[in-house]
Amino acid sequence: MKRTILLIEDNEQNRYLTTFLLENRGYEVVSAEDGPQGLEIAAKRKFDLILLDIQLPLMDGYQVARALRGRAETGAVPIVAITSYAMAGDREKALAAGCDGYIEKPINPETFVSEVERFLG
Amino acid sequence: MACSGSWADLKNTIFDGAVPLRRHCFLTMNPGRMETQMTDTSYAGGGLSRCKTVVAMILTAVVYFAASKLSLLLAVGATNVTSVWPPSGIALAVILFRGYRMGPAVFIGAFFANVLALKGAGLAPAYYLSASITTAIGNMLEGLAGAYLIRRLTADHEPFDAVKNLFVFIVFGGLASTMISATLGVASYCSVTGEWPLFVRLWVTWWLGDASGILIVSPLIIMLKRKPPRPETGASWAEAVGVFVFLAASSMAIFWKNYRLEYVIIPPLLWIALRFGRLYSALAVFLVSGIAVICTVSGAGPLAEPASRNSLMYLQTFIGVISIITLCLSVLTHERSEADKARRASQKQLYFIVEFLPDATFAIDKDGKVIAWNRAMEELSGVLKKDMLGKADYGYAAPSFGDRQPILVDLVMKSSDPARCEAYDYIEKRGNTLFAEWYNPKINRYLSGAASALVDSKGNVYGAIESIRDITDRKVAERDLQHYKEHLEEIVRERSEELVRANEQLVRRIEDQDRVEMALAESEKKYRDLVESANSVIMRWKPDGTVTFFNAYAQKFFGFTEAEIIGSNVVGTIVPAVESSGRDLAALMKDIERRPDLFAFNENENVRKNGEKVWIAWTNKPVYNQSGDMVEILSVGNDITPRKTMEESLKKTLKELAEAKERAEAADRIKSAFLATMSHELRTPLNSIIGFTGILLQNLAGPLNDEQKKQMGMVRGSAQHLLSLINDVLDISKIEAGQFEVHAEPFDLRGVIEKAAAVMKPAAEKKGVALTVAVGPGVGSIIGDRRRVEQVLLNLLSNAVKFTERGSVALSAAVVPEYRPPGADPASKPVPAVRCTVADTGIGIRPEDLKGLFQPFRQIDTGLARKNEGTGLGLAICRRLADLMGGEIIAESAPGQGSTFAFTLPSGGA
Repeated sequence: MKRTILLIEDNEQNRYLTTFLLENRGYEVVSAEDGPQGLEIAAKRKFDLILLDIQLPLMDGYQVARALRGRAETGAVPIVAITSYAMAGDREKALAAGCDGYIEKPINPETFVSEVERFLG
Repeated sequence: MACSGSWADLKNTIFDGAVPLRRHCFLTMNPGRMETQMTDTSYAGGGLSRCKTVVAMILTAVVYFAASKLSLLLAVGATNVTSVWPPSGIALAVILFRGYRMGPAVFIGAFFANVLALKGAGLAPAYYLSASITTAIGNMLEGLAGAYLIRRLTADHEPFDAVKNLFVFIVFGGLASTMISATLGVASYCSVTGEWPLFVRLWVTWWLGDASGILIVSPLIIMLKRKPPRPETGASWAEAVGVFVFLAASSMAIFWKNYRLEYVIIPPLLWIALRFGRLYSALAVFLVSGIAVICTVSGAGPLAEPASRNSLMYLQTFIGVISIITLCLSVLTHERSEADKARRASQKQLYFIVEFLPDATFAIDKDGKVIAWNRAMEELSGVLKKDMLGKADYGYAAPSFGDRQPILVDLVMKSSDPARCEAYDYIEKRGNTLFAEWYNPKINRYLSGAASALVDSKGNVYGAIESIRDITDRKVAERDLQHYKEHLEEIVRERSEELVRANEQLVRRIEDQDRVEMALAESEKKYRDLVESANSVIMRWKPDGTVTFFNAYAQKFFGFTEAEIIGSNVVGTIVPAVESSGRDLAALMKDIERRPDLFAFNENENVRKNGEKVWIAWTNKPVYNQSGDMVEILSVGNDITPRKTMEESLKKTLKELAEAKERAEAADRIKSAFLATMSHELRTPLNSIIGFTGILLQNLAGPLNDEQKKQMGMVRGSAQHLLSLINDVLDISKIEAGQFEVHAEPFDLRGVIEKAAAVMKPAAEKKGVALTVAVGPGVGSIIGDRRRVEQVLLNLLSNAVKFTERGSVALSAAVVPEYRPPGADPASKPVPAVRCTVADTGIGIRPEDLKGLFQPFRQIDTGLARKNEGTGLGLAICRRLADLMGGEIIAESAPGQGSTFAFTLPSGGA
């Protein structure tokens, strides 16, 4: 059975890039363009992992992560933050919001999938 | 004595499992305890014990019977009177060990032995049976009485442990109780044979025979019960065998060959008693007696007189004497050695107790020899225990007084008058203990000591103990206190004198007062002149504001004539109603008029007649009349207009500066935020560029031809360069914005160095530059930010490779044991650090460029800029990172010869 990943990312090119890399390695990827849309999708079906951009319109990634963690159906799904924020304390903020891991942008296309797979268990 | 071998067997059979005498005594004295012990064992065990008793009784009867049969061989003539009667000794020993229950066994054994002996003499059964019963009762009673008396009088001690108990054994067990047997035995014999005239002589023989039997046999049996049967004094077997052979040989020579050398056997007996202990003494007595008896009974030897009765007496006396002497001596020796052992044990115990004591302590025995000398004593005296133990002749006094003399500990022993000992500052006897205090010049300490005699349980003094404490601190404190007390009195005396002096001065001053008042009138005139001509505004005005006095300087300064100003109000003339700053001066004047003392020093704006504003610093003072009412205010003013003007302009400048600073800081914050946002915004498209380039180059989107691959590689190179520019800009902006954090965690520096070298290796190899790594010993785990250290090393290495065309790049690391970071307090303690050095053989740096090397955006323009792409931020970031981690980076270089960058980092973190 294909493993399913939810990708919440507002930039179209980056969404396509991430989807391409994951699908290329056999994952099913469902994408959302912003936080509310992501939360809505996540409520409907079960995912093995959620990739979450931090800089998002409407709701920022930290808020989305807290919302996901607060719900029964997504409370236990691993969340990996992907962000170009690299200021002091960003990592701690992401982990405090409920993320399990943190991948910095720009991603390395050669190692990205294996980094993600670390959190898939 | 052919039976001695089987005696040993008998002894085993009779005494195996027997309760030892002392234990027996314990049980009889504590019946309750005995029951407890009995319940400890099973009922089967109880039955077994009873069974054993019965077996022991039967065996005792049998042994007694057999011994009697053998002994009757030694009988004199046709009588049953024998020279020595060993069964008596067996009976006494068995009853002593197994208790009075063995009495009947003795009776049975004795009865049958007598029946058998008398039956053969051809007597009627009624006679020999009654005689046998009487004799057997005598034998039994003898044993019971002997055992009872010995137990009673030795308080249940073993009879051979002390000379005192041995005498009990000899007198009551050997001589007294045997009289019973002798009386009953001889009486029954005489009644049967009718030989009453022989009664006394037979009685003595019988008595002495039983007594000898007890003296010879009982000690041997009792001693044999002891383990182990070896020379107690540790003398050799060879010696024992030699002495015994000599003893046997000399006995044979005397009693068989009839050499009249009876006393030759005394020395070997004494020897055995002194050297081999009690068992061997008993054995020796047994041996000599046996030889003497057998030989004499056989009619050989010096004691075998023709008249057999006399020979019997001689023999018995001889045996009695040698056994008593030998036993006495051996028991005495034993007692001495036990007492010695006990004394040594108590001395040993004392030694350990003294060792344990915290105060300096030593002990001596009654000969004055040191037997304990503890560690504190070693420290106090400076003399080691090993040099002091066993020393006598007052040697222990030498460390204290430098010569041998009786000290405290000896005074206790000698019970001499303590007051006579002048070496002590203080000495007192309380109870049995002597207390003293003295000064020891050798070690310059005040000491306090206590000494007491050591007394054993019998009240004998066997030594003395002395304990010493250093009381120098207390003494010094006492002395200081004394000194202070004396000094205090001195201070009080001085103060009192000062008071007296002060009082005198006061009196003199009052006298002077009158003279002063006379001078005052004259002085007032001078004062008036002074006020008139002073270079300050001096004025007086009434509480309603009316000016009453205005000095010449004031008239000139303000431009008012005396006529114009006197009588006018200050407000409206020299004081404007409102100050330029907006302050209500009319109200202020009212306040001053009310309470001039609150405005003793006041600055306010004033105005000249021509309208010009001036600033005056005023001193205001109320003037009172005789009845204490305030009538006027005296004000003295100085022109402070120039100072005030300067202050104003300075304030203005400072305000402008603060505003400028604020603006600059705001701009800086905006710049940092802008840079951070820009860096982030730039990364988002870069993520796509680098990501898709990677996908294409990995052929994930289909194959590329060589040209496409080359061009895509260029795109990726440019994108990555752009990324490094952005990263550097982000780093520097974070640092400048104060948002940069360095972690402090332990990490393996050696690993980081090796990893950095491994990352740069391909680039160096591509250029044909050798990259060497040398990590010194001791470079291992340090505390710092692993990622940032790696970043600095990679930056320095990549610079070195970048600017080196041929030759080598050497990365080395070494421990700096004492490092003081730049800017640290020169008095602060240096810390351990590690110095990583990157040395290259590249183009080098001009001295004038070295200065700005670590400034941001200061890449040295050498025309190589094109060739060596870079942000110009790398070294600036490195230096800032090094600062943040509490270290530094130093560059040294010579153009054309290469550069060396040294990165020093405290091992324990910033």
